[in-house]
Amino acid sequence: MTELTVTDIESYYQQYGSSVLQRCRDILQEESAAWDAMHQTFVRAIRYRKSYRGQSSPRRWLFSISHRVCMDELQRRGRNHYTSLEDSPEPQDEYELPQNLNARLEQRRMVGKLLSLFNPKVQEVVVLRYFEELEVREISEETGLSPRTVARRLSQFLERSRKILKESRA
Amino acid sequence: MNHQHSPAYTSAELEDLLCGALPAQREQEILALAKEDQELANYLQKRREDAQNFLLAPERRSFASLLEEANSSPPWWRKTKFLLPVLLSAATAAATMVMVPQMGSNSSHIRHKGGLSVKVALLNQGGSQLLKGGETLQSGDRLRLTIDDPHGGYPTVILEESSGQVQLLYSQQELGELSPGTHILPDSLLLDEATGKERLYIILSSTPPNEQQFLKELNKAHQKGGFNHGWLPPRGSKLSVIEYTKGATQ
Repeated sequence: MTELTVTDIESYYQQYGSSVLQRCRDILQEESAAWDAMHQTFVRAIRYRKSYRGQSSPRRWLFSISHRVCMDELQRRGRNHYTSLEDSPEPQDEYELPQNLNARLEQRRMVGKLLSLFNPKVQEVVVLRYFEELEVREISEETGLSPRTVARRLSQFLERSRKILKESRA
Repeated sequence: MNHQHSPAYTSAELEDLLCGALPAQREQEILALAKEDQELANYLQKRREDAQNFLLAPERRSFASLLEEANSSPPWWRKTKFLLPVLLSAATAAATMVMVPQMGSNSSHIRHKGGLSVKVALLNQGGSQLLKGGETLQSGDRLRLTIDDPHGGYPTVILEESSGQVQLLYSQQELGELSPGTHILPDSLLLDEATGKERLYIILSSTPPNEQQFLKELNKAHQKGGFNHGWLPPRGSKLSVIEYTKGATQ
């Protein structure tokens, strides 16, 4: 695997920019913040292009950068930043996603609203589970965490999310 | 044991399909599904339209401007931008925060283990200067780290806070392998208004390290005895520890 060049990143900007932007929209749920995060993703990709060794697809590599950029933004916002949770569906358990696409998109929207309430460790696995839709085993391989740890963090997310949703509806 | 039910396609597969990066056979399978699944067909259609609009969107910056920023902008701009509201609030309240490096018996707040040489430069409006210990720093000052090693390796920088929380500030995934010699790390560290003792662990590993394991071990060590632990990375790694206390001025 030869090192990425600036020209490679430029072609990725054309090819993957829209997808990266959509992922940032899903996570941050603010249009201007999503554009900023998308741009910052490619700035970092240019800056750290030599660290890419083909260990994953370019799309996956860019998304992993964008996830980090978005999580930085969520940390900056702090835990008081989330929008109304009324009418939001409860998330499914950590082992099963809805089969229906619209239900999954709706669930992703709800997860995005809740993300800023959790610490980066939980955010990392939640993004991979609900936005990338990886299975626990795949998240384990991606993050280097044990499957048990991944499942525990997802369970923490689900348990607290349900509690928050319940309180918001009360 | 829970049984896993995978959807007929995942978000990752849809993204790969939209980017033209999905294997042809799998792409055909999903497109065949879309002929029977109107939701999926509509979604793919909308995303393709978004991709077209993206190329002409007025919000979209030119690649040249991204390249210029990556190559020449101060790496701290992002953090400065993100923390600007916090800094303005702090200024309004006239509550200037400072960080006072903790002094050891040898008047040095930087401990080197395993021969890793790290320099810490203080960047402020007056320029930059190397820290020697004892300086009083202001909120908004920035610290830039320089690693000098004759063998090079994979760098990791971890922050340990007084709360016990540990954060990965720089990962080897971001920085890649450092060649032998001197390297200034991108992204300087902007001093925030949190108070209390903190430590920076700068680790240089000879092979790609398991950074999550570092975080896990450090957090566990801190939970047991606060900062009074002697955590070290595994053999083959070099370590430098920068310890300081941040507190408010009058």
